[in-house]
Amino acid sequence: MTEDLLRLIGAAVLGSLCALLLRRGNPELAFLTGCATVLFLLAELVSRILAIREEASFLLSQAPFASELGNALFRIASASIVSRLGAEAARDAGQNAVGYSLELLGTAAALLLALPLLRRVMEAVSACFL
Amino acid sequence: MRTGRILLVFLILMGSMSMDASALEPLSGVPFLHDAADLLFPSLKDAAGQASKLFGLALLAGIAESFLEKGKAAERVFRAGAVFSVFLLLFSDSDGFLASIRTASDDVMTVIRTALPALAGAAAISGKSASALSSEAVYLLSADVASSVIRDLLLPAAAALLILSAAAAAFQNDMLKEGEKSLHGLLTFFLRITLTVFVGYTGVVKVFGTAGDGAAKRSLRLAISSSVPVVGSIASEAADSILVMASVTRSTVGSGAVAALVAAVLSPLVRLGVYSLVFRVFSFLIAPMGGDGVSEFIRSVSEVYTLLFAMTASLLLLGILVILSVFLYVGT
Repeated sequence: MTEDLLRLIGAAVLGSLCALLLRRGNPELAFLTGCATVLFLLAELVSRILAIREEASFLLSQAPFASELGNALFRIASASIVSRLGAEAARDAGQNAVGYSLELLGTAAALLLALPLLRRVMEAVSACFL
Repeated sequence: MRTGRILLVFLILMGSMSMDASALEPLSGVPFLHDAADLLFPSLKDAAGQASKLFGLALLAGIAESFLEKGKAAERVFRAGAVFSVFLLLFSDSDGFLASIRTASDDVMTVIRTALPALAGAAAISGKSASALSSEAVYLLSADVASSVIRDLLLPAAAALLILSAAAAAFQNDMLKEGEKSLHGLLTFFLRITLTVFVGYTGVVKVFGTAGDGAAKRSLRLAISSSVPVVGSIASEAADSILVMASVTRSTVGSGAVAALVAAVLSPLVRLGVYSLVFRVFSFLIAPMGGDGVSEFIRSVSEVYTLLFAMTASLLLLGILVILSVFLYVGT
């Protein structure tokens, strides 16, 4: 695990260095290099997140309802994290408006995933009082 | 005095026989006193099971929240989602606790309504017809009012407090947090005032110091005031009276009515006591690991369980006071 982490840190440093060297001569290529580095790191992250999800599912497997709620939370968190990464990449390229739009999109996606939970809470509340 | 007691047994038996069978329906299936230990372990298992389910969810929320930037919209949405998930996991199946307290309240009133006419009749026969009539009316009315306040006002308020706590933890809104604090204070105040007024109204406090073993009184008072939350001090004052009156009524059939009362509220009392304890411990355990909103909500849930436990204990106290207060007229 530590070796893997060191390898990923090396790749991140190398990608950042390349992007820095390219920035003066060819900023577009520098941006693409940065994006490629981020994508590589994200691909590595996905496999680890899937492993975390499996472990969390095992923790919640005792109760199917808890597992369902856990999955909903996982989706909300994923939407928020991915949109944040995209927004940061856009800001790195100097596109603040694009970054802000991406953040808004991520929030809207998370809200869309959270609203069914809110609806179920409202149903439970009305069942309690009516 | 002996004749009075014999008549009392007879009257209670007659009252039970002539009573409409439907009046006893709420008591059917209620476990009796000797089942207390049997109730404790399943409740403990249930509470621990629910806490372990919550643990996985709270851990997931805590980890995911650490990836998100604090104060941003996405983080707020996630926090709200996490609190809603915990709320659904705890309370989606039914309003189990509130329903069980409502049933206990109905059971207490059934026992009081069944036993009180017979007891008042016995007092009347022993030559205290005016006292018996007035005491029956006063006790029945005050018990009905106090039980109605707990059942119809404080219980829905406790449910509202739970919802307000979830909203405050989900949206981190200062106004909601203030509202939650105020409602909690108001609930505690009303519970205390209901019990204080009831104890004062029935005149039980006047019985203080008339008889009884001082050491036993002190130990009972200390035990109740330290073990019953919120209303412990009021309950301990009443415990003194209960001890005095219990010594008068010992070995009489009235112990049957008291046992029925205890049996009626034992199940929700044990269940709520265990849940209150388990969630209090769990809220301390999860605080450093779970997300901010989830930890805050679980702490509020443990406080609401404590309040519900206090309400159930109040119902039991109320019933015992009424039965034993009427017995005082018979015993003397």
